[in-house]
Amino acid sequence: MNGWRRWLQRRPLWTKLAAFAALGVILTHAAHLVFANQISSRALAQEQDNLGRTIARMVAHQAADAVLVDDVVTLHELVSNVATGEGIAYCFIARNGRVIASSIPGPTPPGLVALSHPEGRSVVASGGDARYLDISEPILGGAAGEVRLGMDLAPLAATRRKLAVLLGSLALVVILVGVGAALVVGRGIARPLGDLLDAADRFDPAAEARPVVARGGLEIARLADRFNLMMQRLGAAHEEQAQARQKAIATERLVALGSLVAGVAHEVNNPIAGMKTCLRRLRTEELSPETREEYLELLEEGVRRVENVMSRLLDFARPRSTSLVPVGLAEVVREGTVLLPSLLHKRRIILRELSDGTADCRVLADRRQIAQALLNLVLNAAYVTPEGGEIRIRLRRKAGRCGISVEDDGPGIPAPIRSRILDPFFSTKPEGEGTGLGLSVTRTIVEAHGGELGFEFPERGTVATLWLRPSPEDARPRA
Amino acid sequence: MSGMPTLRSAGLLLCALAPGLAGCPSTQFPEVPVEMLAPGAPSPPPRDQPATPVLRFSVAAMQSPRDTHAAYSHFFDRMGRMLGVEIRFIQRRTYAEVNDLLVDGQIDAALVCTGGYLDLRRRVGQEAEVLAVPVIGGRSTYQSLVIVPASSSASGLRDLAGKRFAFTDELSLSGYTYAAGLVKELGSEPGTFFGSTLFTRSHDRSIEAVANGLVDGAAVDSLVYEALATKKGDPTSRTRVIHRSPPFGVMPIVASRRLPAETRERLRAVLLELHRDPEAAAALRTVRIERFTLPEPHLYDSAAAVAEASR
Repeated sequence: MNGWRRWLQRRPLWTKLAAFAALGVILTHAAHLVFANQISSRALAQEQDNLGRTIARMVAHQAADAVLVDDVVTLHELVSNVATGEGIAYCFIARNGRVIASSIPGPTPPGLVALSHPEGRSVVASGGDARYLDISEPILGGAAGEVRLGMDLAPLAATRRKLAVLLGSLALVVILVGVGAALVVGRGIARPLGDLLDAADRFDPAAEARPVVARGGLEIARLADRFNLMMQRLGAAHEEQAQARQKAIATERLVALGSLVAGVAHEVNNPIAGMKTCLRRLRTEELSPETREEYLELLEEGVRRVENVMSRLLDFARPRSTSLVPVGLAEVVREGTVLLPSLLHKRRIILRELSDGTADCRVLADRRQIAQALLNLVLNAAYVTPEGGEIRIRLRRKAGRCGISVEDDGPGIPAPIRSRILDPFFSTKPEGEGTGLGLSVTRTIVEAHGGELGFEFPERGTVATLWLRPSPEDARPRA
Repeated sequence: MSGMPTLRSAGLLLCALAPGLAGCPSTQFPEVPVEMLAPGAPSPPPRDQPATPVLRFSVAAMQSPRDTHAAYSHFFDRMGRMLGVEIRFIQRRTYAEVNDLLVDGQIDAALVCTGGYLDLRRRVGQEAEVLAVPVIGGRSTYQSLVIVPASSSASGLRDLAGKRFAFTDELSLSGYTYAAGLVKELGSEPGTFFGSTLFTRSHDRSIEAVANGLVDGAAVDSLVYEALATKKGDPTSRTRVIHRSPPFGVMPIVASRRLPAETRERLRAVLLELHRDPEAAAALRTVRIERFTLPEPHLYDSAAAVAEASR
């Protein structure tokens, strides 16, 4: 049975359908052949019996007077004539166990004469190769003996064999036609299913779905219609999901922006304070042309610094479509941490960049989105790192992946909630301090890059890693 | 081998179906092995003769052998038990054959027709002894009838000249001798008076022949005619009697004088008392005999005169 199952599992659907249909046809017609052969054989034998009994009855009627008057010559003529009939092997008349006329040359076999017929039913007398259907018909209700007629069963057997060959040939033709039909029907059912399967394999929710054209019956057409509708709904759902993701990313970006505002204010306030001093002195004091020129340069520098900060802030906040390009990890780190120093400085947290000794890896990434993901991780790390603590950004590599890890010196994530940290709206921060979307959005961004967000839980702190796919030129084995 | 399960299963299937496909020789009839002797093998030994004494009895074929057998089997069976003998019922097609058996000593007694008795008396004289005569309808006489199909316009034997005519037996008084005498009285001979003649060998077959229109007339026994009139599918209803003979002595039971005198007397005594036995009386009723009686003197004189005249 297991062999069968394994064999079946390896077969394509149309082969299974055709095999089962063919098996059904073969079994049905084999059974039909057997039963038809049996029924026809029995009918033939019954017909033979009926024929023989009719002849025996006529003989009994004709023989009655001759038996009563001991006219053995007439009786012998009668039984001899009857025995010349086609299919009749013998005919004899017995009275009180004594044969008074017989068509059998020489003595009639005593075993044949003594044969009993329960309830008058015919019996098959077999001797050597011969088989006879022995029929007994009483003369005058048995008062004048009985007529015994032997129908040779050899012609019957020959007829049965012919019939069996005929029925067998017919069944064979039906089986062959049935197997052919089963193959055609099996292919007819399986081919449109294969089309649907191919369409399902090809299906890209981001691309416009190409509808499947149904080949087959009404049910197949309906299935194809449903399948096409399902593909459309999937595409629409994917689009909605993508839009929702973009919104979540934008929202989280704004949240991160809020977190950065204090640091940004410091960055802006410092040059503005210097600029104000310069402006006051330029307005109120008589300055030498050199000093005036120096102050103007300072003003210009201050404006440039403010402009630079604003430009980076705007750059961070402005929504853009995803664009994957090869970019070095170190560059991504710079991008993601450019706004952080003032924030971290305020809490006297040191940000250190480390490497596991591997060369800088280039990945396929949208640098703004990856920078946002990295910023999310660093902001989370900063939140749990005590004042005067340290956050380490480490560049890493493993099989087929390049990673940026953010290690903090915080208390770590308790084991019971580790499985929930990626759930949307799950947050350990006090009410009003977080959206609960940070890690969820980070994971979405990483997965959109074909990467994964990994976590390690050492004895102290947490290590969160953005694992990204290397760009094709970087993925080549290195010498 | 991925194809192995298929091949193996197909093989098993074929094995299971093979007996049905091969057209196995079994039938719905029970099969019994029989030893078929080769031609020329010795005959099986004859059956032992019965220990009970046997009385060989015959009945002249006034009716067909099968009707005679059906009518007289019970009668002989009961009579045999009363006599303490086995009565072997031997039948022949013609009256003459029965007479021959009696003359040759192949039978011991017989119920012969009147014509047959007259023939016996002529051939062996007193060697054939009348033991008793039946009483039917209160009489021990019967008549010869000339019958025609009911649709026939014939009103007398003269009207049957040139027609087809059926006799019963050459020795039958009612079925041949009397009618032949009538033809002679008309100045002709049976062979020339009628268009064609045939012998049916029993009165009932003659009546059937007339009823079915096979012949245009027949001479038959009045007792058989009356007996058939009471049966289902009565053929006499399709016939009409155009002539009745005077009464003749009825068929007697005769015994060969070869039979010991005491046996003959015992047989006569049983015959005369037969009607008193309920079972025997029932058997007698099936042949329409009320009882047996001793023959009156000169019972057969009128019949003998007719036979003599027709000779």
